[in-house]
Amino acid sequence: MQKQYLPFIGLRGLGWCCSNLYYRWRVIGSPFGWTDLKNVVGLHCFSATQTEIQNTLYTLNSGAARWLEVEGEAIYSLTPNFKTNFWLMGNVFRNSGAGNIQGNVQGSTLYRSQPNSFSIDNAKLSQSWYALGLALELSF
Amino acid sequence: MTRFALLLGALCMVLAPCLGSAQVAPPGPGIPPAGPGGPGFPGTPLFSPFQGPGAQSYVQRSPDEAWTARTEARAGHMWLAYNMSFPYQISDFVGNPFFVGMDLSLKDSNYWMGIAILELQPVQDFIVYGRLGGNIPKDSIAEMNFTGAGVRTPTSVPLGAGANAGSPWEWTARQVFWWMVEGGVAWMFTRDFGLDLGFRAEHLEFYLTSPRNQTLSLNNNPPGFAIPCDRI
Repeated sequence: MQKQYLPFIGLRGLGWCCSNLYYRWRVIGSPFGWTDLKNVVGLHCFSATQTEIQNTLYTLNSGAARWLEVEGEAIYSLTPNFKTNFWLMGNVFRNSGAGNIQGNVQGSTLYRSQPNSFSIDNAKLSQSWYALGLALELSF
Repeated sequence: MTRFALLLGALCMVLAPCLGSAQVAPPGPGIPPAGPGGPGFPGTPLFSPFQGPGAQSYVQRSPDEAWTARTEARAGHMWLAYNMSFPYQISDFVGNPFFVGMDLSLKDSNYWMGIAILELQPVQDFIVYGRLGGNIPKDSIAEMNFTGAGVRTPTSVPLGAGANAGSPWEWTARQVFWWMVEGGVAWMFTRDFGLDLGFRAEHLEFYLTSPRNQTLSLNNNPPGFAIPCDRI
């Protein structure tokens, strides 16, 4: 599970194409942002010959995120107040910083792991998504 | 496709009652009537961000109108790429490097999603807005790569551990759920361009279950761990 907190600044604009058809765009981004990542990876496996029961908690709390998002819309006016849109969005997020790993081992015959906890300097998290679709718009 | 049709239908149902309430600005002082044949819409609404080249400003409203608003409901499909990398080193019981890093990535990660947008214009040239979006949770696949002597690749020599010690592992990423909430203000410094300032919070969660690495599991079971593994 992770949360990202992103203050941003950006530009928006609009333009006119032809009768009843317009476009709108927005670019926003941030040179900093915060990530709160907590991922638990657990192995709770056992068989007649092996036992592997451990939970490892990976955490990353860093304010070194960089983020950029671009979106555009083509808008067709159905009525003066009602429009339908085709939209595109793209988003890139990167963060790195000090992470922590905490291993809780209850039994490990396969990996022979030991309970441990330590920090690392260069944990990384990257996430990006793009999307497209249709929209309905109402102004009043 | 059925989900998308249902989502779009639901949006139409939500917005349909509002269609009849569209306001049209009466001609009067301060509001020029829409010119016939021009790019502006006939019967210019009190709030219409898209007036065409003939419009005077990004937004136009009646002088006695306190607030104007724009709502938008988006439905679509998103493709998500995700990678978490934790390079580290753990030594085994004789001091040899055992694990030297873990990468976790999502594969085949695409979802139906929607975003609702509300923009209000309390004063001329300023817009206050909020957005709320999320996807329809769906299972995906996560690939986990461990490196180090503690794991073996499909071509390396086993180190005495069972076949399932190999990397990468594939997991089922159950119910991948992403949502975001955003708020901000925009200052329209010209008719067509504006400056945005805002804040967004995003959330992503999923549960890893059913690890497998497509090799023979312990005790000659079928590929996969084939042993009980709890929901992580």
